[in-house]
Amino acid sequence: MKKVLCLLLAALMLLPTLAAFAEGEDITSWILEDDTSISGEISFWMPFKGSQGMDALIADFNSIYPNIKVNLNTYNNNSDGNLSVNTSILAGEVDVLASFGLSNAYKRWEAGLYVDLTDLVEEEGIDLVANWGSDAFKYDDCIYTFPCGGLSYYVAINMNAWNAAGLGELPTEWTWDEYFAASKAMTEYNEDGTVKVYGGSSYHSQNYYTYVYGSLVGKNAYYDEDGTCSFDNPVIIKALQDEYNAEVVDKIWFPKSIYRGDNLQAQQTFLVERTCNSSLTPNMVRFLPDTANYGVDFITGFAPWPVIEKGQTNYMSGVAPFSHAGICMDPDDEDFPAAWAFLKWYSTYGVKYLAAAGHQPNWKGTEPGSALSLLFGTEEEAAKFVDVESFKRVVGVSTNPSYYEDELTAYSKVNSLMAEYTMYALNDVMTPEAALAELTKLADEAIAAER
Amino acid sequence: MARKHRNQNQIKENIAGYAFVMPALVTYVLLIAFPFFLTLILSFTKFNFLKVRSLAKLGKYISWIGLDNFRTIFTDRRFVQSIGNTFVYALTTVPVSIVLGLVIAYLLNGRVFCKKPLRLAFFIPYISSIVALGAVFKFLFREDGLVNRALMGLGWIAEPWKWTVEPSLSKIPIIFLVIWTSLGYVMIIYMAALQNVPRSLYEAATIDGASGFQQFTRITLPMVSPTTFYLVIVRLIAIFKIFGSVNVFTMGSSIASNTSIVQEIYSSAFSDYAHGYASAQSVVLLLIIIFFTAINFGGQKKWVHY
Repeated sequence: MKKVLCLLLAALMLLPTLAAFAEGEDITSWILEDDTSISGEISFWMPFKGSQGMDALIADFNSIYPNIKVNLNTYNNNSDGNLSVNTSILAGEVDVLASFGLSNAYKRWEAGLYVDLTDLVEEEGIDLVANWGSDAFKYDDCIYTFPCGGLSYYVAINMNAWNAAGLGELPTEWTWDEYFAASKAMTEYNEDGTVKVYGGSSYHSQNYYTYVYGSLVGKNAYYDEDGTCSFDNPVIIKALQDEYNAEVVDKIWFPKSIYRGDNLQAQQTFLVERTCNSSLTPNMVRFLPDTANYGVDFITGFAPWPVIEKGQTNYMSGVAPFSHAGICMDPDDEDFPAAWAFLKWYSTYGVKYLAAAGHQPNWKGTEPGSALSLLFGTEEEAAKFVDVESFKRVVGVSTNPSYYEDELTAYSKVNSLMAEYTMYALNDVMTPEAALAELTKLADEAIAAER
Repeated sequence: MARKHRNQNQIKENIAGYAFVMPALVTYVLLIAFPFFLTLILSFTKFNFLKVRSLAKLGKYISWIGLDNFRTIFTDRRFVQSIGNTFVYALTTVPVSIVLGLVIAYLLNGRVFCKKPLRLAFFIPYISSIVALGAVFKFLFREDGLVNRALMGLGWIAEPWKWTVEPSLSKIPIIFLVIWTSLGYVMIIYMAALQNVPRSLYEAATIDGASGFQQFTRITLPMVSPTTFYLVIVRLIAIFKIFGSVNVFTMGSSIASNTSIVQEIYSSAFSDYAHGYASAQSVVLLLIIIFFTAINFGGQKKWVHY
């Protein structure tokens, strides 16, 4: 009886492994059956340069599809850059496009700038959930893009400062209170009492405090379940108040008002050790091997995105979908099959190359550890820049719970209102509570107007 | 017969005339008249140009919404604020740049050491890239910039001021930038005007015992008043259309206290892709410019001497 029970238990333990293996096989098989001898020439528009992994991506693609020529066009992922992409689509110059940020992808779905892939996806039996973890990214129930690229959120830590402050082992889970305490411990002061090195920093974008709420609910940090905005939620109010205290009152975080006013970025202040020793940045890892511009003399360690209470499911610990790839070429164009082949390959096997630019692959079939090898080559080389163990544990773990956004009612308006009123709070023009009350009123008006 | 011949000559002359005018006429119609009337029409519609995949089906993508865009404009907090901000820029930069430009032109019109290099120095900002100048000014006014360091060194402020993100301060760097860049243009126009003031008037005034200040206020100012009127009109229109210098400063700051009307129009058109609404905002800007230009033309009889 004991033997039977042991065997059953062993079989039970093996089941998830077998299931994962079976799932992996499902994911990878659909693309490997394609005809790789097809030919054509396509333009691929993407915000990263050839030197940021895209040349390697195209070379890898051509090792499988030798007859398809891919011309890379790099654009700036700001409003002017996206405008030029849109006008280029209208001019017929864009074949395959990676849109960064859901709001940019959404505008293109809405305007019909991407080709509807629904029939092709159904025909080839492509499972969105199995491949990219979600089938939420649709417009009018049509599939225009694959959510293949993502961002990983973490705290990057200067290990010299961490060790000097006697903070011990890097945490595998920590609360916001513990993170603020560590930031305080790492802050260094001049003799006159002014701050010499800030202990911590938020990312330079205004919206990061809303991710405190996002890490709790897992999706749509700007919106409540009933579709109204969430800025009056006590978690968000406390998060902004905490950031205000850290930047304005306690001065343990680098002020966001300076980031915004002087056009600085969080990775710059971290890497030049000018101000901060730890930082909530999604793309920090891109800059670590850049010894030409940032020759740092410290090792960077990684801690997970903090939580409100220990034991909470941390939806910011996985890879949040961020970039969406699709086809803009006329479906009747003779090169359309080549564009479709490239899109499928890029969205699956090729998406690992995003790691070279600090973004993360969101394809579930990506081999673990590919980010480390793409960024640094080998683990030995990586160890010169990062704490390898914490990197592997924290950065780009696509199997961890992930935050995502699929509610986009008046998104641009709500986002710009959020940015504006956050700055009023962090500039001491209004209290965080008053700023969020006003923001809630205006955001709800914008949402109602769009509905 | 003679009449027929005359008519044929007339037609030939007319054809030749039209042929000469045609390039300018086509350019005018395509680049000025057509966009102008299209903007007027679009201001009554809901329209996103990204959706237009074929010009033949343009009508399909445009929906007529009457005066809705204009109703929205006056409840649009950011647009209303941008109108207020633009008025502040106009009220500060136009008088200051005109007065300073006149004073500098008057001084450089006399015998001055290094007259030509000085003229050049004042004129260079006007012909330089506004983006480059804006970047320099932004650098001067940043948290650890020269302005804050100077003010702190003088003991006037204890902590660095946030010139670019603090709403009560955020217009000041832009006002300085605009005055500095427009000074050269105002100065050059005034120098040309000053050289046309007859010397005999000053000689007669000197004989009558008029002081330098009296000569300036009683002779120079009235004689250059048509130029002043021209500069007021031109500078007002330029300020109502201000974009580049404001955009450099507001980039990334997200606050609404220093935006301009054209910046809001640009944002509606190319960030929100609400081209109908942006057209309505452009029509409002046009009406504002027409209104103030008309007031200036009406008031000129009282102070401009031709």
